Amino acid sequence: MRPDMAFHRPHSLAEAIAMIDRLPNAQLLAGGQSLVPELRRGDRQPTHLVSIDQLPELSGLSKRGDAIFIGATATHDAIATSPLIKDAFPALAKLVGSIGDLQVRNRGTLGGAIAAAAYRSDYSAAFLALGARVHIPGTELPYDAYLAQCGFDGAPPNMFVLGVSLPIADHTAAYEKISHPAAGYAECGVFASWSGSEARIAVISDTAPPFRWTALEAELRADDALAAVDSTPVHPLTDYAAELARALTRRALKTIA
Amino acid sequence: MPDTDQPGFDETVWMPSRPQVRFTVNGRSVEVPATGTRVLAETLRTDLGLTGTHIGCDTAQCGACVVHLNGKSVKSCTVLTRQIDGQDIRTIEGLAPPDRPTALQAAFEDHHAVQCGFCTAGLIMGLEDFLEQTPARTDEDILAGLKGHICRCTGYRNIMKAVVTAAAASSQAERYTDKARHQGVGAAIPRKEDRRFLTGRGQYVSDVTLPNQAYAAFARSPVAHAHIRSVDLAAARQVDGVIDIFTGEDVARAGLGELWSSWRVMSKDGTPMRGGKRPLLAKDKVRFVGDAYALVIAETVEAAVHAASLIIPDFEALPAFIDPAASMRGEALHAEAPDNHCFRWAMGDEAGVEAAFATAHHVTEITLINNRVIPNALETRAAVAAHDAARGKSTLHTTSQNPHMARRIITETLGISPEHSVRVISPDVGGGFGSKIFIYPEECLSLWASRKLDRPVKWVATRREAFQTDVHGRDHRSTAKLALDKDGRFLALKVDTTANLGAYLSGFAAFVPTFLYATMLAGPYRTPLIHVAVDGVFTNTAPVDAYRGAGRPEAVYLLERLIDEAANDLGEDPAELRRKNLIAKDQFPYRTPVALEYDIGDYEPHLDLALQKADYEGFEARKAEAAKEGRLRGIGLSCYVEACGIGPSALAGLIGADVGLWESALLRMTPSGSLQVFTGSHAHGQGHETTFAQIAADRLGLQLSDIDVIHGDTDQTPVGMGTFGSRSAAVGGSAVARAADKLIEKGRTIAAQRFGCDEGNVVFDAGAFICPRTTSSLSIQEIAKIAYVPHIYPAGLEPGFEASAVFDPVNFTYPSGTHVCEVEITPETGEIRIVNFVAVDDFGTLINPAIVEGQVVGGVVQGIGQALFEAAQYDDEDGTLLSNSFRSYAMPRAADTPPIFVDHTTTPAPNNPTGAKGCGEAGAIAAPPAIMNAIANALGRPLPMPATRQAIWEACQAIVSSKDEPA
Repeated sequence: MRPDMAFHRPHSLAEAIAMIDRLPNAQLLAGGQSLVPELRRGDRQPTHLVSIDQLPELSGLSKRGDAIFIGATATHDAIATSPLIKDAFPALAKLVGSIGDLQVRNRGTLGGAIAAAAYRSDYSAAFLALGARVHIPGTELPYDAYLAQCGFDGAPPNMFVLGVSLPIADHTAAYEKISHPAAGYAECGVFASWSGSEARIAVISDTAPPFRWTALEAELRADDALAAVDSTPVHPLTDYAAELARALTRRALKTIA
Repeated sequence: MPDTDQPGFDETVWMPSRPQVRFTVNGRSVEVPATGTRVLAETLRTDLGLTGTHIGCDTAQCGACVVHLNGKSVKSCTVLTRQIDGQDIRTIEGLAPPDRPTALQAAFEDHHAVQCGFCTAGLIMGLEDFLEQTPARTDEDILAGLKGHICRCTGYRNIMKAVVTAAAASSQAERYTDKARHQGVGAAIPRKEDRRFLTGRGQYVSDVTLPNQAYAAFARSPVAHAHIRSVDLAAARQVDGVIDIFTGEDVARAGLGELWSSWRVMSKDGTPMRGGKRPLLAKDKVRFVGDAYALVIAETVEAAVHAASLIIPDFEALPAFIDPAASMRGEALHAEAPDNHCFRWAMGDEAGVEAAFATAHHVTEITLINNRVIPNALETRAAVAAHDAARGKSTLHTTSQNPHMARRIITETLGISPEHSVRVISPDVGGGFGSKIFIYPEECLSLWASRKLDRPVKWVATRREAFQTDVHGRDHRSTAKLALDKDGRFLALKVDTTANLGAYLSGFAAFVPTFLYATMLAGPYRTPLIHVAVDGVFTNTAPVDAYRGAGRPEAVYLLERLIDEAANDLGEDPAELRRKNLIAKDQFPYRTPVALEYDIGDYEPHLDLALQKADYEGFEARKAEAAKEGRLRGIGLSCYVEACGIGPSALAGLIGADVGLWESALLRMTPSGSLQVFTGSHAHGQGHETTFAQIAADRLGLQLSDIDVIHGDTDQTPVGMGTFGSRSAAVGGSAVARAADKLIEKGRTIAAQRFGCDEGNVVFDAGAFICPRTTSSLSIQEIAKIAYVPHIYPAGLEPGFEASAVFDPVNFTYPSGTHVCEVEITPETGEIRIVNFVAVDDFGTLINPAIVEGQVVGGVVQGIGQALFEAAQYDDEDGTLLSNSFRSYAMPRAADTPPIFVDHTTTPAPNNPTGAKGCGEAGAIAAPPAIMNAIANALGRPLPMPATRQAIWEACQAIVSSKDEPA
């Protein structure tokens, strides 16, 4: 039989980072909602598992200046019910409250969601629209740059997501999605936000990487927003995926109108 | 930001953590091994014996394994045991003592929110957390709270009611109590079996663990069709813990038999059906993806699975065929059937039908596919076998709907004699829907290996194995023609069907698409001439067999779609076209042109009631209202007759069965006055422990708490036929009623002697024997005591107080009904909502109306599944099963279910003592055509099943573009 994976419970964030840097074929593990089924199927076969859900440095939500920082191991449930998030980003709170199911939200974490499958994560729609920044050791990067480093299967193995920060700004927003009938992930999701002068429309789809619908954002400054939704191409989506994005955008815009 | 500086760590201290973890479970501190990818669910079940936590899937979808981790609900199949060092776990066993259930558990009992019980404990643990966390509880909230759970039996609606009740924390005052209410036939009392399921105390096969047990795992073909040149076991044998490995050569050499059909069907040219025999392990060829070709027995399940993955087959690929049309022209799966035809069967007056079509005023013709579906009982198949060499007796625990039939076929196949040297126990079984009627290689081989190795052997299918190897359902391709006269009266029906049988011929597979299908094509209508031709064809797919309804849903879907198309053609209202063709009340008994004699029925009342409850009249106004919002509304109905409680045995013999179709019951009243009811029927969600007790209670004047229904064990119940085809109430229940009557007669003899009066004068009423002359009275329980202490006793009468009966029905029973469905479609996305569903059925006498309603709703929701979501999809090129998990095969979840209005009309079954006809399959039969007719009505064109969101959207696009075209 193949040798058993080593299982590590580092005592500090610094130790966890060192483990990921130095141990061969090491894999972070927090809530395990994506990873454990993958390990069970043998889709991933790390030599070392580094468990980080016990590290207090990574699990908190806090206000830092004009941004809110969400730690990587904050559970979806903690985020959805956090007064900080509900107050500053109510549409995000609602979005997070719709991820998976109650049991997934109790256990699954922000970091796991955007590291394992950022393309399909509901978070990606909100984070693109809200200008989120992803924090990794030593630096931070805008969410679109982070996505560019992720493949369909998730973040590069050695990338250690510490958390995400969101700039606080006056805005109204809404998230609408249509879920896959079996797996439950969003086949399409649209996060629309409006700051009073600027619209941001971010789309996730199971047929393309997440993107901002910038062509529409430009049009939305005009009066008849809904007409623009019909007439503006939804690159890179086509056919049904494009029509889902249009329909969900209309719903989101009606909610924030 | 977090501090991310890295001081100089000494990497040498990064040793793997110890392979043990310590945590608390239900307040108790435990230490258990924690290696590899072992998850909490396995640790709880295997190391700690907490088997109330179940495993229903391998993709974290089903929620059967939900427990509380530090006070919050989690799916314990996604938590590595290594992760829970120092944490606090609560399982269903630790939630509340069984005699003091929580408000939620009590509400589940009251609302019949439990059927097979397999998903129940997970639901309770999840919903307790939901109630804790969610202050406001709208219906939408509750649906969201149910999102992480799959229940295949209940259709979710009763679960929702239970949550509402528990959330309102309403008093328990209205609960049924044992003595407070009527408990006999007709009482909607809670089920006797529910408490054990609600508290995690059920016992399923996978919960059984025997000392020194070994584990089985199978090597399965990844290709759909190939010659097996050789199988290399060398690497697999090196795996630590492997005890032995067997191949198809080994089982052939051991002289083991093959599995085949229990029914013999003749082709129309008089030749017998052919091909499809299944060796217990594939020897020369593999014929579908998942076909097992080697068996590993090992000390641990991990070792067995690992070794099976190291077996290296040398396959010579053959062309694979998924579609029967291609298969007919392709490589033969079985040498006996060179053109892959198992049979070419027909029924009816072909010449008469042709003549009627030649002169008909109008002919409507359709082609349609009845989509292949996968049963997916939440409990996967399992076997635990053991052999006691000293007693010469083996015991097989197996997930069977009919343990006696399993014993007969398995002993025959393995060459074990006598049959009764094997005891088959099917304890609590977590749903079946037909798939657990049949005998599969894995259960046979578990028993065989345990005898060969003289060790207990356990096998539990993974969900993926269930997808690949459980029998699938339906899969028909048909053309159908209906001839009508100028007044819209049906003149003749002609049906040509190709039935995909899969790679091997399963137990009822030849019977389902022939006799069980063709005979139902008269429906509730006076069609005088019918001809049906059915080709049964082998393909490189999983075997197809009975799935909830078994032939009848295929017939009703075809007929009811055809009638709607005819109504469209003729510009008639679909309900009125049906009405004018219904068999009238005074025509019973009614002989159909397809071999059945309907004994009783009255169809117009359920059509009327269903239309009224669905407000059929008001539909146009609702449609106009929806159109203002840009949505499309449609309404559709289906009328059906089905045949349940198949019999008599003599008929079964005539049409090719190798068994009788009776059922047995033994009623034994003990000296202490409790009644044991032994039945050969098997319950796996249907609630027989309650309904059979109600039948006995009704006849004998007993309290339900005095009655125990015992089933599922061939050593306890000597003979039985098990549960399929909605036969249990009508046949098994009738045996209980007959045995009760015999018990009363014996009691009457004893009472007459005590009273000193003629037997003929002793009255039995409400549990007491009364002599009207002297007004002396003895309860049946007092009589039982006398029968066991027979000091003053009728001469020549045997002591003891028990009676048995075997009921062989003289005819099928014929439930009927009308279902109406209304849908609303959002054209821009293709989203569909069932806004109203009405089911009005005539099941004869209802024994427990709440259980009947649960069966109807559960069946309707499986029908919704077939109509809107479910499709077993194989890759056309390589024959891989693409829909092989709960992530890729969509089934209705709570949020997909509408409120379902259930009502009844009643014509009691005339030919059995219960008056019951059978209700288990009606929903799955009637719902798909009602839904698809509603969709066709909304879109102005029919869609194939499943009408997925995208398929509906595409149809909407086509409507828009056809409207855009100039006239």
